[in-house]
Amino acid sequence: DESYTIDVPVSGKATLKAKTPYGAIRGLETFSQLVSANGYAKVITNTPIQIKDAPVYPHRGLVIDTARNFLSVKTIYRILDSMSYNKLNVFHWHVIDSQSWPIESKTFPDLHLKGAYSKEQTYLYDDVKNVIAYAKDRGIRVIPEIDVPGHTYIVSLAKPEIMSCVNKQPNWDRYAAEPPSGQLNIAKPESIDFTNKLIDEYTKLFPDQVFHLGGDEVNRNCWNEDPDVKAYLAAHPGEDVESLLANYYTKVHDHLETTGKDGFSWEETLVHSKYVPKNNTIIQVWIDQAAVKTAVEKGYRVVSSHHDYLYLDCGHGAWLPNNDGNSWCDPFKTWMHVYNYDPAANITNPAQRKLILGTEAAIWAEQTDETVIDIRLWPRAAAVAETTWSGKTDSTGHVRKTEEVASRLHEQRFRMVGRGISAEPMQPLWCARNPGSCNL
Amino acid sequence: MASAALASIWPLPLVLETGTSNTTVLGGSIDIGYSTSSILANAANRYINIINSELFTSPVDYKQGDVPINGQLIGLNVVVSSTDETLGLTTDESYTLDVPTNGQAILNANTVFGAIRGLETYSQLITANCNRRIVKNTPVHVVDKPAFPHRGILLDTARNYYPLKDIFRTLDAMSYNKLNVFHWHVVDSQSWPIQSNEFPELQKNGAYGPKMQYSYADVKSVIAYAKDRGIRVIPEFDVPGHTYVVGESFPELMSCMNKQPNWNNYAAEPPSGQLNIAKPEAANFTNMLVDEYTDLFTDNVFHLGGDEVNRNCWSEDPDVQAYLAAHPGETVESLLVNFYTSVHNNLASQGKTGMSWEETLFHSQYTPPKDTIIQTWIDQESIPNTVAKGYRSVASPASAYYLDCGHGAWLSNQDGNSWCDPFKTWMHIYNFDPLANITDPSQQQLVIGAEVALWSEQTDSTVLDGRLWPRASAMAETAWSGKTDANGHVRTTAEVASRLHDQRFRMVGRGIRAEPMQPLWCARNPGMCLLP
Repeated sequence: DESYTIDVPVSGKATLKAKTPYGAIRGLETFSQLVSANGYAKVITNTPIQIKDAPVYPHRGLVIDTARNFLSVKTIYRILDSMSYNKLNVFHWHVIDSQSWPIESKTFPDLHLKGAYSKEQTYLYDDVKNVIAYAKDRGIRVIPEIDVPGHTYIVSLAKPEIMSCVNKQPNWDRYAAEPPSGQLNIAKPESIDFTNKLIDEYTKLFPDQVFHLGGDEVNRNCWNEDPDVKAYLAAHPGEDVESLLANYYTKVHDHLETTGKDGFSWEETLVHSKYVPKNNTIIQVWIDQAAVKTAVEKGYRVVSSHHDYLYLDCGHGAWLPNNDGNSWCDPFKTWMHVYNYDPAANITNPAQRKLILGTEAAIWAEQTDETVIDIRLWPRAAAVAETTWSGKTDSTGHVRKTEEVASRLHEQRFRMVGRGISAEPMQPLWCARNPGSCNL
Repeated sequence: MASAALASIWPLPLVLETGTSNTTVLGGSIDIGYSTSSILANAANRYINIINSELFTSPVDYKQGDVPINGQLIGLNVVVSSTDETLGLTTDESYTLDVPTNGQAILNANTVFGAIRGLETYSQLITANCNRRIVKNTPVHVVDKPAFPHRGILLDTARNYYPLKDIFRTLDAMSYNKLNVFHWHVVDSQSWPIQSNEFPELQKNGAYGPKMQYSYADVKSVIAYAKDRGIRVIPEFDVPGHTYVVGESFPELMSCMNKQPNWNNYAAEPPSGQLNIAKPEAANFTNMLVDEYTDLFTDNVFHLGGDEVNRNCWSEDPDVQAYLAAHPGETVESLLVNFYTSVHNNLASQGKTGMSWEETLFHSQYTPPKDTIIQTWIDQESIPNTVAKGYRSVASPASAYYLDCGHGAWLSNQDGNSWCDPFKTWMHIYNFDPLANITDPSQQQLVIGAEVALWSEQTDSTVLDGRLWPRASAMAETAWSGKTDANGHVRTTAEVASRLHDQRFRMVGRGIRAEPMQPLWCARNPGMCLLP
């Protein structure tokens, strides 16, 4: 329960009431935003003030990728701070991927010893626990993602024997969405065993009820052309790559269930495979808005990260050096475009709308690292922070428009800069000072 | 001879010959001999500090163990043959650099500015190997000079303000890339941050605030900081468009001030406002400012703007209409010609060379003085069209060199792209050829160089470094090294990516927050992240 009320009298003491400490944290942020400077004095204008507040969506997050490029713990702390300034409450930690494995594994130490970019670019257990504690202090859940069975080239540095299509060159694009290629060999029971041991380890390290098992961009050629998989299938007629994949997902999600956690996985596990996710698995949509409808119609809870609105890394063109063109998800999503997104668009059934838990804006790190993470996130993530905390409409049912909220977002941006977050500027300062003068 | 690609110099020198030995660097000592040049002394100190504090290892070498050492470098001798410290378009920036396997390295240049270019190359030759500083692949022999003499960055400090430390840091980063022109777009409609002694109200009413200003002292310190790095400061006072802010002090000089809501009939962006060219006071005002600022800014070239001039602004101004009614035979076009004639003639009388946007050549009836440098931006074709008319051209095509593009529209009620989207990747910038479609060698000579532009509608201090770097480095190599190597082979982005990764990481180490190009994995594994 993140609800709270605030009463600020003209004179005397203000009162903040909440049911939980996390509601109080939300209220404290609001209180801090009420206070502004007038000369050197601090004032609250337009007192007395009464606020009653509660979020429309319970799951309001960011996907942070620390595998394509590393982010230090200090940077993660700053991201968590900036999330708290915007009442965001889920840090979806996409901690490993093909390019690196920065997180310590006590079960398979070679994963981080060989897979991290360097000793300094590693998250040891203590680092992870510190991040979880720092986040909880701000009412932010940490949901880890171990993305399997695709996106796992890095595992080959520790356990090459359980892999398929490792670093195929030059035609990596036949086997993966981006280089280097490499997926767990789902014809080998050792892959399932490996995954389950990681689930055992990391469900203990991460206390959140939800655990993300990835499942995006799984490439079939990778297995169809693997001699080992072909040999297995030849020896087991009646099985095929699709059944192997469904079997893999079944085994690992069943195992996750024994830990008492809820699964969270990308939309492909629901719409691009023969597997049927468990009823309590949360589906994360990124490809198609239609998948939101499909998922809630089947009774699944959904978190939307629709790439067309919420992929904040897009808009920096292609990143392969011999590709002079746009990236797959260009153009850049402006704050206005992000603000205009409605995750529940075209879903009218109230029971289905309730299954939409919220959104996560994603910052994939192929072209992002410490030097630019703040400017990529802010203030655009603040736009979706408002639409998921406050919804799309005000109390009269009026859908808020970007030109109506621009002034408030300017304030939020300048306030964040003052608090040490390098949020990018929206417009010339002249426009921020002259609201309404810089509209089409 | 080992492959030149093994030495990671950016931009690539004209001649780079390497050996097969490795040499440790005993100290960062740089000896300028009997030179009394303070510019050279400052540069030597600067590079001693860089060398002594930098421990740069290429991502490609992250797993490299100790390399065998064949000799020691005692230091660098710098020999400059001329004491002439004039900095301008024809300044000689050539140098040669020899780093032996053992002994003393030697840098020879005709001017201190050539020496500065050579010092940057020298600093890039020194890398870290297991906590030792080394030069790989010695003996190294470099012969170098730029393909284009004008290699710049345009920074707009009017739409949003940049404190001095940002400008200094940008000048440092430019020196790491051998860029030599800081085109200071200092005023525009949204603010007037620079001190004016002639019209103090301009800054008083037009600056964003008392802490968002450039005093005379500030400007002089920028010019000196730049000159120490062989960088010219070319100021731009953009007239007669883009001048709303003048109206905050002198409304009587203006037309179409802040028309709302239909500013788009009168200007390229809000707020609208242009000098009223029907009033002689407008040209007088401009000329007084030019007189003032041609004293403050020491470069021989002075930019008078002249872009995005809106005709409705004048044809619908009652004062202009009254004037034209009283002066049949004159039109808005002839008034504009008069205005340009007056201001460019006045500039010439100050002994300066004018620089202006392509509209003054192609979108008005004015004929600029023959020595005016035309800065093109609208179309790539404007470059060959400019030199075909016999004018010198600086190439800034929006389609390749506008670094601000790609962040979508910025008007609050607009959910869409900006006019100049998409984002220009470093590859797109690198692939652009300022000499494209110009075959006549005498016309090719008229393309004196290029500038990347950082317009600041959506940019300020928080994002400055990431917007500029490493993409400006891509243009810096085209402008210094040209498009082809000595064999006539046109360099491809796939071939240079590794070197640019090195330049990016080196700049980050030197305090420039250059954005990353790819996952670190790709930087460490050259050739494995290419489109098949």
